[in-house]
This record gives sequence, C-alpha cells and structure tokens, in this order.
Amino acid sequence: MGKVHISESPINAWDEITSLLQSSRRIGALVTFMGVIREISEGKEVEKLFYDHYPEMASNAINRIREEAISRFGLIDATIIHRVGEAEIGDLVLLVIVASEHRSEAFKAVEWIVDEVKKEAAIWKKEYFKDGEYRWVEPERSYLDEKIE
Amino acid sequence: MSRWRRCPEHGNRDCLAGAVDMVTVRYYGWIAERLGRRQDEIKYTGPLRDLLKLLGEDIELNVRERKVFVAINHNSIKDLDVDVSEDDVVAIFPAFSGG
Repeated sequence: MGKVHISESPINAWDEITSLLQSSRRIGALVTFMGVIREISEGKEVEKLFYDHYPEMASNAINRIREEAISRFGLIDATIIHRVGEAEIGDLVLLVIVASEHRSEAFKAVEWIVDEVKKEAAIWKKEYFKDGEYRWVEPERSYLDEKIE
Repeated sequence: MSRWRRCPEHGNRDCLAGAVDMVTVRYYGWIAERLGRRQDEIKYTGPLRDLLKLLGEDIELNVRERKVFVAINHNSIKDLDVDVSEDDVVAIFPAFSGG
C-alpha cells in the first residue's frame, strides 16, 4: 500500500518497495528514486545535513503531490517519504516509489514527483561542512510567488 | 495592544500553558535561527501586515519583497491585509529547499 510519510528516523527502502509491490497484482513496473546525501556540495566537504520542516504544510503538499501523480500518470499507487532532522553522508533522505502497469508512465511520474516535492514541500535544508561552516540552502528559484494566491 | 510569550520550540507545552486565545507565530529555517526562537504567542487581532511589523527584524519588509513567505493556518498567502485573529497559526519561512 502506498503512503506519504515525513520521518525523523532512517528510511528502510526495501521494506517500502516490498510493501508497495505486494499491494497489487496489476503492477507491471515499479520505479524508485532514492535521494542520498552526497559528500561534496559546491566543492566543499559536507559533514551532515539538517532538515527543518513545517509538519502540516509539508504533509499536505506531499499528500497532494501523490494524489495528483496517481491521477495525472494513471498510476496504480505511489509512496513518498522525506527524511527530516539530522542526516549523515550516504543517508537516504527522499524516497519515491511509483507502481504502474507499464514503465513509461512510471519513469515520468517519478521525475515529476521529485521536482514537485522540491518545489512544494515546506522543508528547509541546512548543510554543515567539515571546515566548521554551515549554510541554509537556497533554491535556484522560488516557486512560491507563482503558487500563492 | 499586544501581549507576548516567546517559546524556544514549536508546541513547547510548558511555554504554552495558559496561552489560550493567542495568535501563534512559528518561524522556520534560517529565520528561526536568526531570531533565536521557534515560536511566539501573541495576544493580537488585526491585519497580518501590522502583526508582521510588530514582530520586528524587518519581517514585514522581507515578506513584501518576497524574500520570506507567510502562511495562515497552514495555507500560504500573499495578501497582507487579511485579518489575523486569536487561535490562528501564522508561519514565517524562507523559500523551500527540501529534497
């Protein structure tokens, strides 16, 4: 069964994949995206990341994205899990799993979901570097202006 | 007239004890870090614009210039002339950067 979850604990990707895979015998394609913390950011060595989040807004947005993806791409189901709090190099921080009858819509849906989560979910990333400095990550472009009434 | 209660964390129960009928103002990301707190509880009713001015730190200016954003009861809004009333949750935050 697909789900949306914002988690302060490590994400177990295989458990989530197995759960979604076993939810329907119509599934012919299962496509997964795993966003992982990399060691280098803008040329500097990263020690860890911290994700701040606004629980109600983030959860509402990710639920909306999941429902729209299922409708827009004709998916069987989808799971979206975002890690928050502190995370280390190599940790899985964004898991998107999409189940569909055929691969084409699943590949498109995963890319669309990842883009939408980055634009729409009320989550903020802070990078701590090994040299002791840190920075709050600014998006290349804010989409909030376009979305807000 | 406004009355303030400053809380280091969102939903700190000790801090919020007795804070009924107050507007909750939450801060996120670098804004919370710069202010040194996560939340204020303020006895306030009136336009959002004036509430933001009360908060200081050029928050109202930054919202107008779209450097930071604001939500009421978990919905992003642009109109600073809307009224805020007791029990509302106002959130002030930078552009999202998750993923």
